[in-house]
Amino acid sequence: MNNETEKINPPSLETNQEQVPALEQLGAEREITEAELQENIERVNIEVDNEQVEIITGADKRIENVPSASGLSAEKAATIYEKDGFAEKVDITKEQIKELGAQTQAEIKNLTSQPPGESETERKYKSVREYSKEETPEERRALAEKIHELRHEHFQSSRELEERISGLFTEAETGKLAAEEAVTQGEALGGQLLKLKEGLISRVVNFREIRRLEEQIGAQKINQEKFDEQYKNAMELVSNLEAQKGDRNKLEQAKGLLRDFYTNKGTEWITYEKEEQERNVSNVLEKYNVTMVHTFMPRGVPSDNSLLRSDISWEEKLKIVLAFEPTISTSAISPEQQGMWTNIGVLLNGGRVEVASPSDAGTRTTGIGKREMGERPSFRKPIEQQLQDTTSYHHKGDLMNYNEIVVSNPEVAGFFVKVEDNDSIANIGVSPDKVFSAIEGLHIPMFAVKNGEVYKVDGQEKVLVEKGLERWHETILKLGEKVTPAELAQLPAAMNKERKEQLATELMEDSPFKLSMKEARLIDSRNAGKETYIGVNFDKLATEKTISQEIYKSSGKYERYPQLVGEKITMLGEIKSPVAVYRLFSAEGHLYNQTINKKTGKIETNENLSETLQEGNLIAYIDYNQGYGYKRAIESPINSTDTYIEKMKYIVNIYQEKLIEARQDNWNDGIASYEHRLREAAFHLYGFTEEATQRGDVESQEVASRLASEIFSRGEYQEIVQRRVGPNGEFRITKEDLESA
Amino acid sequence: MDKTEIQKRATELKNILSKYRSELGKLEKQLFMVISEYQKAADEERIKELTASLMKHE
Repeated sequence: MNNETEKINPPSLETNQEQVPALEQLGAEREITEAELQENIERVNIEVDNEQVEIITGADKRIENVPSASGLSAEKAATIYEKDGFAEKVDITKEQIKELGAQTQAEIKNLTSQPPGESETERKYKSVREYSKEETPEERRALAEKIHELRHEHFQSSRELEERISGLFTEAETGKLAAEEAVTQGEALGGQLLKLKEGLISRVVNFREIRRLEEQIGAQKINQEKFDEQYKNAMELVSNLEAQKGDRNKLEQAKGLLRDFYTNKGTEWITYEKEEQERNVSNVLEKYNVTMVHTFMPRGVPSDNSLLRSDISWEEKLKIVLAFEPTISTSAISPEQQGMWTNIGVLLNGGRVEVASPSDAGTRTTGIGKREMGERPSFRKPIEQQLQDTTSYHHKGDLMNYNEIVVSNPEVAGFFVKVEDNDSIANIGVSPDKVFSAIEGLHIPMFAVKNGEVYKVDGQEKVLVEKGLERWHETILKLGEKVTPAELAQLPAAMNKERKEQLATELMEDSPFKLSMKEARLIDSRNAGKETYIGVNFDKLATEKTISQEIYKSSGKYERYPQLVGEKITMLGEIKSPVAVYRLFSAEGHLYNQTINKKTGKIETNENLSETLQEGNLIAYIDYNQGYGYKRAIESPINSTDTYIEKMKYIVNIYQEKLIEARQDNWNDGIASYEHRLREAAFHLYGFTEEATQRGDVESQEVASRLASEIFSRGEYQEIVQRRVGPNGEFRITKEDLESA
Repeated sequence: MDKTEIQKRATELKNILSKYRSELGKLEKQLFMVISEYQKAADEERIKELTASLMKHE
């Protein structure tokens, strides 16, 4: 009746005591480490997937068996199933199960983000201290210099600005400056401040520029001190934005003083103040009774109208607007003028209107914060006139046509999605669930826009829609009370200052200064595949000529297997990673795995029971990079190459389906994630193949290799291994590691 | 990440898993109740068939 029945049987869900300890022992004497937390997070993610699949598969099987159980014909049973509403109820519940899984995984994902307030500098330093140092190439110095230059520029401009602000007031006081001149200079200062901010923003988020510099760098290894310095510089750029906001406050204070000073002396200042008031977005909302929206293109960016990376997600764009308040293009909407560029975006309730146009003004982005506004004659009219013309013009008969109002220093009141007359979400180009999950993660309010008006959102539900033979689920929003433009103007900002700063830092983090561990994980997968071959063929290998025999040494105070101390053990295999040696040995008919940390000398031994292989899990655990580790687990009994291949096919199948879904939803993060997991599976298979080849097991070599090559080409695999793995098993770092993950 | 934060997240993870399993359990029960009803309906239909067949032969 559906695709799930065609799947290979899902893995059993019997928990393995060896996996559970860290989480279950929480609260006991044993503290959980960060690495163990990470392992458990990954394990739980897999369990969430598997448990849903098992329930749904089990249900499908029972449904299939109903005719034979009752003795009814298949056709009659199917008729009862469809006509009496059982099919619909089953579909709805399955959908609820899947959504529960997705929601849970989203909550789990939040656990992997960095906590606020923690020293990001500290965390990053730890991740690079492992690697050896060499001379820094000239080009890398160029990057550091470039960043220094940017900082210097800002500070210089900022100092000048401060001098001019205080100078302005002094001149006014001493009577050297007429009110009219004070107005002009005040405006110029405001303009300069904006330019300063825009320049800083576009540099901070200009990944391309920094990335281009990185590409010029031909370093094979990094110099740790230079890396630390560059990282520090990047963080300072972010703090400069904060300082720049302080400058703005100073200017506002100066203006306040000037206003008091000039109130009795002339009308020019009052005129200026009035114009500033007109430009204020909250005033526009109240005076013209319109809602101002900034919308996001869900799929990439318009090709010649953005300097954003072409793969930037709507979520990242939203974060940029929230964190950096760049100058943006908005539209004023109302029941009479409903046109918007797209159907998702933010509602504004603060900011300064720069220019306004009744139709798309075609302003062009020249920097993240800059928009070239061209030389339209209408832009020279008083701002009140521009706004009056813009908000009173209604595009007749063409709701898709929209006006354009450029706003600097925007303040966001919340996020919105457009809904249709029946309150179902309009076509927004991304999965509604993912949108809700992301907005919840950012802790900003969610609104709905319906027929040009704003409503609060009290909840949502999925409704099954049938059209002919097609059925799908629509998300219907439960709308709360309407929010008028005047009410919107009074709402607090969606995000407070502290959270904005944190977001700005996070965005800056996602840049050249984070090591990509993706290929490290691929190499770990390869090693896990090798270990799996040994584990699966334990019985056979144990009777073959052994690699070596040695005497088991105690691990020390916390030795788990005292009975082995001093006894002969048979080495079956050894895998090296940059910081650990991972070994498999047998003793007295049992299989054990052992991790020896190269740096600390710490030895950890665990029993890979032959019963474990038959009952539950194969685990390859490689300690990597001072506590950063990951576990590759394949659940369910694996006692032959055939079973291994079957399980790998099952896993690959799941990931391929999830990848298809992610592509349909245009969920870029999901696409990258599932593509990477498929590569991990391929590397696992290639590792298995290599070990089989070494042991002369041609049959296993062929089947594993065939499946691997269906996912990822052998040539590319070999290129990565050759590039990454040194002669002693060490992991090589390259310049690409500095690109964002 | 400091120890307190790690412990906090581990507790959160446990809670998430516990909540997920509780909800999943309810949905599983819901699903299997529907299937039971379907089975029951199929059984009743079969009984009707058999009864009709018996009456024909009487």
